[in-house]
Formats: sequence, C-alpha cells, structure tokens
Amino acid sequence: MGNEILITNKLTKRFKNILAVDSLDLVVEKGDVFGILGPNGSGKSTTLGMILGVLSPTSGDFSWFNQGNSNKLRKKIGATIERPLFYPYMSGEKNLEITSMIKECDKKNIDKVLEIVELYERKHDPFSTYSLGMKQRLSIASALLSDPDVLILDEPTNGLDPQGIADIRVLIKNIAISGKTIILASHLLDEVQKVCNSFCVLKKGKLIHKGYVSDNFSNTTTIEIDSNSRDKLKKLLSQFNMIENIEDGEEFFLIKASKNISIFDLNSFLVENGVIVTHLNQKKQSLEEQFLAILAEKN
Amino acid sequence: MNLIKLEFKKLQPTRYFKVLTTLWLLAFISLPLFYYSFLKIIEKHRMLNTGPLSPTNWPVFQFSDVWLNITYFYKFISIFLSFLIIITITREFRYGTVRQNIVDGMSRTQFWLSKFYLLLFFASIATLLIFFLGLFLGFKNSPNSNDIFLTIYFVPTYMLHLIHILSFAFFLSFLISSSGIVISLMIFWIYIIEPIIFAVLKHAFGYKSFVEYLPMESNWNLLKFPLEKYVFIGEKVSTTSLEYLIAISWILFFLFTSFYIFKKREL
Repeated sequence: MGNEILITNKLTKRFKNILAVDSLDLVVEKGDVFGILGPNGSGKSTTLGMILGVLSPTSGDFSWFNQGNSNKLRKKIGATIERPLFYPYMSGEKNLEITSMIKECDKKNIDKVLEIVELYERKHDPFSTYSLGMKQRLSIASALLSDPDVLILDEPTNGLDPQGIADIRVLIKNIAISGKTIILASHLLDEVQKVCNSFCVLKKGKLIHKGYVSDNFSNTTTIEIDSNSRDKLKKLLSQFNMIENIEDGEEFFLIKASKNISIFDLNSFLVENGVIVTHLNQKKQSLEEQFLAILAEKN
Repeated sequence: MNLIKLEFKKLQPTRYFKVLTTLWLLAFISLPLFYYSFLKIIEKHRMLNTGPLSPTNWPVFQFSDVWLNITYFYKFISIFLSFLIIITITREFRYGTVRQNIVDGMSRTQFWLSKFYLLLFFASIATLLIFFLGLFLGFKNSPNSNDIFLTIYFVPTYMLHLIHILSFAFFLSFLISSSGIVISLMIFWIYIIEPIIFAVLKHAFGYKSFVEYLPMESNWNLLKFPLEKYVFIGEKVSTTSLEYLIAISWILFFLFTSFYIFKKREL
C-alpha cells in the first residue's frame, strides 16, 4: 500500500451499443512508465477520458494516489488528451498562463517548460500558427507545467514526422529518468517498447495482457548463427536438444529454440565439436511480435 | 482559483469579440441619435406636430421618464450581448478547451460558474452604461433636477431583462454547443416560433391565453412600451409582481437546466 498512483476497479464504459471499456482493473505504481497498448478503438482514450474526469464511468471506479477522484487530485497530474487542445487565438505563453491558473501553480515554470520542449522562441506567436509537432510539444509543456508526479500522454507522437517522433521519445525518456510516473497510451508497439517498462494490452475494451516490457513471454526465441563450415554446423545444431527448427538463410541459419536455451552452452558445444561460429546473434523478440501473438491467442 | 480572472484571461479580443462588441456599442450610442433624428423629421414635415400630444413635446429623455424609455428601447439591442455569451461558451466546446480545462483540474461546477460570472459581468456592464446614459440624457434634457431617481427601478428591471435573455443564450449554448446553430435557433425562437405559439394561444384562448408565461414574452413584459402613456394618459407601464415572478422562474429554469446538462455531459 501507499505506492499506487492509480488503481482502477472494474472500470466500465458503455456507449449505447458499444462496450468501450469492460471491467478494467489496472494498477500503476510510483515510478512506472506504463504503456497502454491497443489497436485504434480498443478503449485507450475512453479509459483516459474516465480517469481524467471528462467521461463518467458506466460502472466501476478509480482512485488517484489512494485518495479518490476529485478535481483537486487532477491538478497534481499533467495530462494530454488525443490532440492538443488550446485557445488558437492566444499565444503559447498565454495558453500556459491559463493552465497555470487552473492548476494553481507558479507562472515562473512557463519559461522553463517552454525551453524543455524547445518552444521558447515561439512563445509569443498564436497557437494557431504552430505546426502539429509544435502543438504536440506545447501540450507536453502544459502537462509538465505544475511539475506533476504523474504524466499522462495520449498518443504523443501522433502525426509527427520521424524527427519529431524521435525528439518526443527522448523527451519522455528524460522525464522518466527524473523519477516521474508516466502513463502512455499508444497504438505503436515499438513506441511502448522503447519508452515503457511495464504495459498492458487492451482489445475491444478488455484487458488481455499486462506485464513488463523486459519479460519474454513467448516460449521460443530466435537465433542467427553462421560458420565457415555450414554443413557441420547444421549437423551439430540438429543434435542440440533445445533447438526446434532450423531454417537455411542466405547469410546465416535462423534457428528457433526454446526460450530457456543458453547461448553459452550452445557456443561451448559447438566449439567442443570443432565448429567456430562467425556469426551468433540471439534476436530479442520485439513487442510487436509478442503483441500480435497475444492478439492472435485471445481471438 | 479566481474564476472571473480566468475568464478575463480567456476573453482576449478576438475578431468575433471585437466585431460583436463594436456592433453593440454602435447600437448603444446611436439609439438616442435615432430618436433625435426621428423628432427632426417630425418637426420638418409638421406631421403629428399638433398640440400638446405632439411627440416633440413628449418628455422622453427627462427625469424620471428617461429610465423607462431608454430601458425599453435598449432591450432591442440585448441580443447582440447574448451573441457574445454564445460565442464565449461555444468556442470552448469547438476548440475542446473545456476538456483540457477539466483535465487540468477544474471541476464542472467551477467551469459553469466561471461562465455564469461572465454573464453577470456582461449584464452589469450594460446596466451601468444604461445608468450613466440615463443620467446624461436626463441632466441634458430635464428642466430641473427633481425626481431624478423616482423610477430608477427600471434600471434593475433592465438588468433582470438582460440576465433573462443572456440566460436563454447560456442555456442554448450548453445544450447545443455550436455557435451557428445556437444563434440561428435563438433568432428563430424569438422572431418566429414564439410569435406563432403566441398567435395560436391568443386565437385559441382569447383573453385568458397564458401567453405571458412564454419565455421571451415574459422577458418582454418586464419592460413595457412606454410611449403610449403620452397619448393615453394614465396608461400603466409598470411591471406586476406576477410578471417578475414568471421572468425569474425562467431565469432559474435556464440556469439550473444548463448546469444539470453540463454536469451530465460527456466531454
């Protein structure tokens, strides 16, 4: 107890005929960089809408900092939702002044957060003249404004060019290093993998998986291997008992093995039998593959 | 959190805002000028310019008649002020900034209150302007300084009229949240729908037709056409308690319903 930032308890949202979020139980702990992963329409934004007070749950509840869900608690959270929402006729700086009035935080932070997101030079320009990337960065700035312990980012790289995406990811990582809890909703697996440490997968409003990004929860692993004496290598590999499948690639063999396989043992075994490898690489299974595997499993 | 300060911050002069405020101020300044040119025309053509009942002899801008006369004629421009309310509320929905405000930590009650304070602010400013205009015209035209504040209650009644029409705009804005539709609907209601209902009720029920219970009719009844009394001596132009009661009931209905709608609304 005491370390939970957010707890949802059977959180459910029904829109007319659609069950957008179905009995969602989540726990986000202090210091987590928590990814909410799911295809479009899986209920990510609806979930964020509920925990941020813009949508009312059909049933179930949630609690911030173990203190319930009043609007005062939201002042301690920095959040962006779906797309950057600001007064287009006002400058970036004036928009942040409004945020600081609502959050009741110091106006002195405005220049600081504008510098973090590299908008300081454009702070007097109207929001309507900003590019999409700048708008996204301004919403991150507004989320950072009250120096909150929790940051919620909904698709923060949506619609950005590769450079903008890279910039924002670096920014998020730096924020995470500073010890803040981050909740990141994304349909980009690779983004969650690069940024988050734990994650959950939503599908049609249901929680279908939660775990750590570092967990390898598939039963097999893929290894690339090659040697000057390919025939002998292939023969030896087929004798090694944890290997399930060997595929002849142009440059190397692609082998599928049990995830408990020890690369050290495999290499020792080959050396003892007189084969020196010229290429050996255990491929980390990407979250994308895992994600597709989970989605396929639950179908 | 200082809600009214927050509203002022949001109220930066946008093009919409400038155009509407200018329109309203222009109308505000030009109404007495219209009356003066109307009198000029009458004098010139010697129309109706006969004897003591001639409009040129009416003490329209004298104390204390000035209060009931200007408050009546100024209600024709209140609709411009209600457009300002409509635009400041609906643009929060259009830009989605109402969502961001809530996400940032405002409660729905605070958001609603901040807009309500703005409504009271607009109504107070317009009432103050009317008050100063009345003093100005009164001192300029009255032969003496007697009875300056004898019928001053028309000024608070004018404020009630403003709060009434602004609350109607306020209610429609929270209900529909698209400025174009709200403005059209408001004009449509005031100039077409309610007059039709009015005519039908009158036709069907005659004298006891309950038309005074209609929302805009109750608004209109707060300030009655004042010039008749110069022709038909003894004609009453004051507002009855029942009329006040009906108008206040509509104001409360508009405000509470808009609050309820906004509380329940998915943003």
